Amino acid sequence: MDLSTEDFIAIRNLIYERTGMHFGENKIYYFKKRLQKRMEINQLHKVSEYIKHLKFFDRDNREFQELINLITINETYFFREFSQLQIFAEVCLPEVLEKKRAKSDPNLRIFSAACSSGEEPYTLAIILKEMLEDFHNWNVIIKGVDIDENVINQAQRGIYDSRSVKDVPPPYLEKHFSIPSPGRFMINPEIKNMVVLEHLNLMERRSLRNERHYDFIFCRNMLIYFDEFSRKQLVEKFYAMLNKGGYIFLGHAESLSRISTAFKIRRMNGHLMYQA
Amino acid sequence: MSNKDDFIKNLSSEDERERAFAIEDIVYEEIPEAIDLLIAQLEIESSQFVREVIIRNLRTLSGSELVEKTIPLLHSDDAFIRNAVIEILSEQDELAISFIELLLDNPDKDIRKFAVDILFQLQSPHSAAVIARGLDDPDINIKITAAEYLGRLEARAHIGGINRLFLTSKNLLLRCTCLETMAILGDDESARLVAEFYPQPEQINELELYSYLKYLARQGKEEYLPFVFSLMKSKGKLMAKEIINTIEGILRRSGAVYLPARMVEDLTLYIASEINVINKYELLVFLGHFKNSEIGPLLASYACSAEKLLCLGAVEGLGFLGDPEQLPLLVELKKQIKDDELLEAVEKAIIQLAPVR
Repeated sequence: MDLSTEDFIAIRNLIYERTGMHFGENKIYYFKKRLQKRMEINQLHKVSEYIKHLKFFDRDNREFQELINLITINETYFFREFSQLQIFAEVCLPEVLEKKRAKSDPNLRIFSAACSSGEEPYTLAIILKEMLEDFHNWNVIIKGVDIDENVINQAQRGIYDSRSVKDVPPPYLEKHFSIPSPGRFMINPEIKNMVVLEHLNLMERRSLRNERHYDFIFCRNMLIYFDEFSRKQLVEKFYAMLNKGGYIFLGHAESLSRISTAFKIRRMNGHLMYQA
Repeated sequence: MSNKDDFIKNLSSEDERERAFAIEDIVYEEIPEAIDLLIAQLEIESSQFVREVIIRNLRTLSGSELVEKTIPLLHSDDAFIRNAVIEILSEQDELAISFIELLLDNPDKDIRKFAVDILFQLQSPHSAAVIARGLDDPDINIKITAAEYLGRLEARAHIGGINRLFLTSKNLLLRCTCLETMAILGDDESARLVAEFYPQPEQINELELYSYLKYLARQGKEEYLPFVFSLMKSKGKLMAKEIINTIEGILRRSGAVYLPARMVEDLTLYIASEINVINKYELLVFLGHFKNSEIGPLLASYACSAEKLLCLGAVEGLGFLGDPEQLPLLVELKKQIKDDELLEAVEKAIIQLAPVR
């Protein structure tokens, strides 16, 4: 299959317009392989035909979604996207805590959407435990939800392999994990007890109406799996869940451009942050 | 109080969340006055969050009542509302076309422009005929938009109107747009008009040249190649993408198996020049489609490049070329490289050169 620069740019732009994800020119071969797969399934022989299909005939975005699923790698591990977590810990968290102290509000609530096997909510728990000097004065709730019951059960067990913990800073690994058997890492009860895990379908109409007063929502690398309409719907739900001034964290390649204009945009250390 | 009364009462809640939930519930419960309630709320709503919820919920509705009641909002001073209404109308079915067509007679050129935009986004086979009315609009921007959209819709039935506009327009931007649409829809008449209009292509100004090359890339014949190759020398870096597209387009249509030796020389020099690496990649892959004896060694020389894209382009080119003489090189390359993508490309090329029997 020949993928001309023009075709590559056309598909790349389409993906950028619809998802905010940008792929550099060095990804042309990576794209080619995945495009070929989708074209074979759709029985299309020319890239231009496939682009046309995406633009004009894929009105429910189903094919576009298949393409996106193919070009995004769904993996989760502790301390994923470290630089973003750094902004959370060093900029956003102190800002929110200061406001809460001024109002004598001891509640700190964090929501981890599509938390999979729990690496993200437990990472956030470790960060809070490490960052909050007056930890015991705070009523911390970290809620992780996922539509897949199996991964929630896995998260509840809290046992991981070495790949999942590869980016955990060694002192934290020693402090917050035990080793039940060689190559296995179990999250310590103190951290585990900070996290509430729940099986939940975010798209169910009323599922999040009672979830309120959150200070942070993490939904990193998740919106890409939804079509444009569902993204808007979900982000509206998240907005309603957040306190004024609360933050939503997206994956580093994601943005709320073309999804919502209700959030304030703040740029911090090269990352776009969205604040309710 | 009924659910409906509750929802309506909640539209006045001080809590924006309650207002948003009420909007969702009104639509979900299929309250008959839903469209009126949502539009009335949109006009007074101060929360941007709730406004977005209203628009998203309006988008779940359809039908002539929705079309008729949202069209007046195109006159709103609020850009968010105008854009949202365009989005809503663009998602309707063909029944909306007759309502939108009436807007083409509106004295306000902005409304006429919105109408053309909506018709394009409707993507209906019937919208092209209405968009074509825009070619005769008194406003130049609407003419340009209509010409562009007819191309993007591949509305071949309207090439006559585009040819006419190309010939009569004094406006450079409109002419460029017509050229780009002729690139997609062009017929014999278009080819004749373009040839007559530009008897000396080398004198075309730079702005127009981009559109002219786009036309040649899709419609040009081999007689234009000397001109395009001459551009490689004068504007090769600035217009690399357009030049390469044009050469590729013309040569692919020609069905040539061998390139004139001079062309291979020029393309070799072009790859070695300071054009972007992605352009070099594309040329290397493209050269693999021709059987000239010089091409194998040329591609082989780039296959060992430290620059990944050059290496990829050369390897893919060698795969297309299918010259078994290059097999040892690829086998050796396979042993050396560590990059997964590159390795896959090499393996694929090896199979292309020596298919498993």
